[in-house]
Parts: sequence; structure tokens; C-alpha cells
Amino acid sequence: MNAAQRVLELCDLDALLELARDPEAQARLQRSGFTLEGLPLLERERAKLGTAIDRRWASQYERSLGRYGRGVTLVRERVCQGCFVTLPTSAAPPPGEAELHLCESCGRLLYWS
Amino acid sequence: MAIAEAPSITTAPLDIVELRHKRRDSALAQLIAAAERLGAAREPEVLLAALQHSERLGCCALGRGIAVPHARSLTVRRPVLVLGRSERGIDWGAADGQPVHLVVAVLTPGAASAEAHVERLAVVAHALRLQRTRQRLMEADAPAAAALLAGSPA
Repeated sequence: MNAAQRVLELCDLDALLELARDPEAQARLQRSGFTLEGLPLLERERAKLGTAIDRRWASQYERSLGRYGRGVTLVRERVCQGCFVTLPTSAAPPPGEAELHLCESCGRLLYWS
Repeated sequence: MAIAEAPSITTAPLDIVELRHKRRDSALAQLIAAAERLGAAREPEVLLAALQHSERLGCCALGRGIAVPHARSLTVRRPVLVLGRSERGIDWGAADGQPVHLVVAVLTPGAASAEAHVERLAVVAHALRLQRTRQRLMEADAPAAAALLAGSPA
């Protein structure tokens, strides 16, 4: 996986941990037959993954997570889905390449594909 | 369960895949490929990692030959269900030791709320409790499978 993919993996893992730590979600999932006994294991994996990411992106990720509750925000049609500011054309990644950026307006870490 | 309570299930596209593999991770990769073909997912490696993390949180094989792997991921463009069927069964590590014959992958975009994702999982798991539904899913086409998983009679 490249740097952008690792950051996405971390973001997805944080989304799963958010769900697994929520008492209401836990109760609903358990009623549906799902088990959640692997939470401590996932928390250790999260710590490991956090250190495997390039330091620059890791620090931007943690900053976005702390400030906005999500580590990564999507770009849709050149618009940051966090602050809804249109990004400059020059910021677009080459076709077919997914990239990480920082939103110049709000500072969120952006995933642009 | 009423259709109105689960709009994301009834409106989400559904694809059906005949699973060729006996191993769980190979089956997951096949389900992801189907979601990619529908244009509902990208970055298959990242999505596979998300599904594997869900498995580590708790085995997604619910017993009685069914598994509901799931992910709420930034790699998912729109809600989608992928139904996988395996005649010979997949070793999924279910608590009841039974091989899995029916797999319903529940894929939700990362921007959706955790509550919405849990709701989708609950609707699918509820529908799969009925033996008659499981039997019909083994032969249903996509529209009928979508209706069965939404809890409506096909």
C-alpha cells in the first residue's frame, strides 16, 4: 500500500473503533448476532498502524481527527466535503492517481481520487 | 421489518456472485471485485483491509451457514450489498463450525454515520434469520434478493 492508502486504512479503522466503542451500537450489533470481542486487538493494531504511516501525514491526520472528528475528508467534484470550498484546479491529482492534500481553507486532510 | 425503516437497504444496488473459493479472504476479494464492477467501491486493497478489521473485531459468520462481512469505508462510493453464494461452503471460522454458504457484504460509505451502518447490518441479519429466506436467497435473482434482504416477501 502507498502512503495515501495507509492513511485511508487508518481512517477506516478509526471509523470501526468508533462504532465498536459506542454502547448503543454494541448492543444493537450483539442483538443481531455479531460479536465484538476483538476490540482490544484492534486498538493495538490501530496504535501499530499509526506509527507505520509517514510522520508528516500521521501528524496531519491526528490534527484533522482531533479538530474535526474525522482524520480524512473526501473531495467531491473539486469541493472539500468538510468546509465546501472549491479547490484550485492545480491541486487536482493526475488522472487515475489518488492523493492526499491539505485543504487550504480549513486545514483538513483531504483524499482526492 | 418495514421497508420504510431501512431505505438504504432497499435503494442500494445489489450484485450476486457465485463464490469459487473455499478461503474467506479469497471470497472477500471476489465480493470487493463485484462492488468495484458496480462502480460502488475503489481501492480494493484498502477495502479488503477494512473488511479484515471487521472480522478481527468479531467473526462476521453468524452461524447457520451465513456471514455478513461489513465495512464503513472512504473507499465505498455509495451503499451497496453484494450477495455471495457458495454451493460447497467456505471455512469462515463460525462459532457453530458450519461452513458458510451465503455471504452478504454490507458496504457503507465512510461519510455515513455509524448508526446508519449498524441499521443496515441489523436489517440484513434480521432477514437472514429465517431459514426460508436463506433457502430462497440461494436461487434468487438480484431484485428478489434485494427484496428478501430488506425483509419484504419477494
